[in-house]
Amino acid sequence: MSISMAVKYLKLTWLVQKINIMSAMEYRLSFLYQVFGMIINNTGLMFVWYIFFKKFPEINGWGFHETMLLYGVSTMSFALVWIFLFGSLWISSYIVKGQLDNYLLQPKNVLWSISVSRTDISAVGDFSFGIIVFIVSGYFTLGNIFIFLLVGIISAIIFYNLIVIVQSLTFWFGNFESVAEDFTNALLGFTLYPQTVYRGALQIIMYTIIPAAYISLVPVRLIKNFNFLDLFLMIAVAIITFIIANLVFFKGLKRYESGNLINVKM
Amino acid sequence: MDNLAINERNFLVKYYFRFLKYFEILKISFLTDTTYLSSNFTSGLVVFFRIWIFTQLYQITYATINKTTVSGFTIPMVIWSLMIVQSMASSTRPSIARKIQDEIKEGTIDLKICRPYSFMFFYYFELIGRFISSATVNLLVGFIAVLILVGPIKITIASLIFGLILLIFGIFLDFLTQYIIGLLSFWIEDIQPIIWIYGKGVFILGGMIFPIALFPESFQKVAEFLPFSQLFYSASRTFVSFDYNLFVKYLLTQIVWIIIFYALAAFMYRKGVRNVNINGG
Amino acid sequence: MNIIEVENLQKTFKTKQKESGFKGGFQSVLKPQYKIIDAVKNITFSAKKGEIIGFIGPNGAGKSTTIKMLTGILFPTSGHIKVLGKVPSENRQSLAYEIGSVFGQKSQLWFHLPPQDSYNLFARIYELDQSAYLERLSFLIDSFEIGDLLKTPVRKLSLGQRMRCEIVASLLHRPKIIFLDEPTIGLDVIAKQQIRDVIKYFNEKEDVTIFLTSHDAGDIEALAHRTIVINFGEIVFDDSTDQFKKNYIKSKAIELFTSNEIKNFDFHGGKILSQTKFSLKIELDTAANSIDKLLDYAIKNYDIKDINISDPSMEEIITAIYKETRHG
Repeated sequence: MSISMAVKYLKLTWLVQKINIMSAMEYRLSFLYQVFGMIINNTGLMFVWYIFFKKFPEINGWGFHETMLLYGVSTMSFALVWIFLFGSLWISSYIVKGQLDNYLLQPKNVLWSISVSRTDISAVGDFSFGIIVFIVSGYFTLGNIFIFLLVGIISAIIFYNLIVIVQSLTFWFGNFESVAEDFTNALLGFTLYPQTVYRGALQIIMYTIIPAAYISLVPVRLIKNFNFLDLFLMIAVAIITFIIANLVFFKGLKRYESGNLINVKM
Repeated sequence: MDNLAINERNFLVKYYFRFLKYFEILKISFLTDTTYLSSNFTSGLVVFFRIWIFTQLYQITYATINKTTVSGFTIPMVIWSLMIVQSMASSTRPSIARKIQDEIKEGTIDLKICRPYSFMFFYYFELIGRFISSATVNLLVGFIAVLILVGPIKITIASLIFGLILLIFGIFLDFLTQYIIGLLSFWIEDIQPIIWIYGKGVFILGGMIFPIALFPESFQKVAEFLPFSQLFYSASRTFVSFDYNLFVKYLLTQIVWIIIFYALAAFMYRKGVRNVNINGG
Repeated sequence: MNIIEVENLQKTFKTKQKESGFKGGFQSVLKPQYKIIDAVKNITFSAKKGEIIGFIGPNGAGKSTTIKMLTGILFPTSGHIKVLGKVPSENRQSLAYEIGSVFGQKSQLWFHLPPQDSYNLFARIYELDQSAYLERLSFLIDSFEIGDLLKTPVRKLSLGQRMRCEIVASLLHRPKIIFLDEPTIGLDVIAKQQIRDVIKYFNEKEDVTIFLTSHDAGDIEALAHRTIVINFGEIVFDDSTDQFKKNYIKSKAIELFTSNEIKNFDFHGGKILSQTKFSLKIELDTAANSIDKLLDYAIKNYDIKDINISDPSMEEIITAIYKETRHG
């Protein structure tokens, strides 16, 4: 895939979602309702930690401000996926309901067509929340803004790749929708706990089987103390997961094209 | 058998048949859920991981302040309490509010209104069926996880019995709130944000991440008064550390909220159905 | 070059069988049982540029499977298949630029957006030149009369309106061939006629090859130059639609509703299927007697309140064909 093609796809992605969001904005009330609902929702999450850190002010150098930074980064990468590539969360559902065909007939990369087929308006609320919380976290400096955006994008890519991998397992396992959903929720959930919590075996898991570390802990580390090792780590993970995601999806698609899927309405 | 005969049937018989009806609904819901073995398994796995994370969190936290008990709670007690609350809470998902919203939006609610069973109890028994199968798996995994990670705690017969009472009332209270949220679809286009906010309320004030017993004083008072803590936390806390006075306080709080919500639910349902009839749905 | 070339095409499915209940669930994991389904057994046909082909058959006959192979969604088990000179399953994406498709029950338009937005997006996705696209779009809008539907979200459109918008979407990029799968399903008589008229218009004006499947014999009668009938995975008829009509659409069922009692209905050339005091259903052999002769008789002798005229159902036609090929 050449650079010009990649740019073309990026442009198209932006265009598709821009139209989706602008269209949603026409229903002003509903749009604001969803966006603000989400901001309130996320603020609630922060509130638990506020209460927690009121009782236990600091655990090994990690306090409420660090938690805010963590939430800023996590919600940002989450929001980017949910706004631009929301369709990826529906891969499993499309497979099971036999709705892949439409995307197969499009003159563009199938995985891309599916990924941009939907957007989640409430994620605009997450996006806003992520920025607000980052600003209030106390880590808001000029240099950090750039790092924040950079790690936000890279972790969004990693997140997306992981979603695609799990969702694509539906090609082999039929009834995989809720498992895929659980995995995504687990991934998300695990990004929301203080860094100091992850030691020992748990740490290994966070970096491997449920790689939430790359979308939360490592980005936070980079903002607190920028270092090239962590940056290269993130980029490497992004590339590797991207390759795996494409392999798994397109291999699964071959199965779909054979028509031999279990539990699938052909 | 014509309608007249049905109405004249013996009171007990009438309720027996009504019970059978609901039991069938429960059974179908249970069976549907257990066919998805793999999905139950992974949700159990997620529970395991979460408990693990919490164990480490509290171990580190307690170590930082160099204590073994906080507000009378040891680490094992905290973890057991969280495990029970989380297992119960996830057993009530997916939210019936969403189901009710779908029915109202698609107009299939008309079918349910015309059928000879109560709309509310239909959903209640469906929830119970799902709950039993989910909770069994979640609790099983939860028990294994906490036993491995923090070891056993002392549970007395009293704490089990009284905790169970609070659990039964708590489930009903959770059902009522979900039901009411679902009914809001009669008037509100998209209840999703409300479902979120409610979920957050349970998350913050329902003792899911942070046992309310460990809250700072002022927060604790508020939390125990609100319905969120009365869904699963009060039962869980009683299982783990039984206190008679607290039990009574919790039970009364539950009952008050149940009465309020039940009345609200009945009112909303009647109003909503009339709305449908007038506007054609 | 033929637009479609199919030779000895075959598609076999292997599906897992699962017994009900818990035990069955375990069994299917440990010792899976498979059932072989021969969806398409050995079909051969071709299509020329500008032809409208009616592809009919009962449910489960292999229709959708064939279309899916033609569009590249499924790959064949064996045999030779080429669309516009390319093998569909290997060139799906590039073929997509030259093919249009409308699947009656599945929408390709963005559900929450107005059709206008979907069209603009398609223009970008199909990489159409902007000014050419706009010209094309306004032409299509006029032809299909969807001018006042453009700004309404698709989910709010009626089925007939949505169908017209779907077909416009499939024609935006000037495809050389379009696949229409049940395009008139669920539509009322007027909407059906509208769609048929415009499809015919486009075929004649732009020489677009059309591959059409339908359960409605009327669609085939009105549109198809050629009719191919498939049953149990095999082609049982492949000839001009005129021949098809001559052979199989030989009768019409006419239902008459009168305001006075029907007594002694005596019309030769029609078989009375059912009769009540004020209504009558009669099967008319269209080869032997024309409809207006029957109506003439009916109006002359009775006070006609209402009339229903229907074609034989697709199922009846297929059954007749199948019976014939078994014996023929």
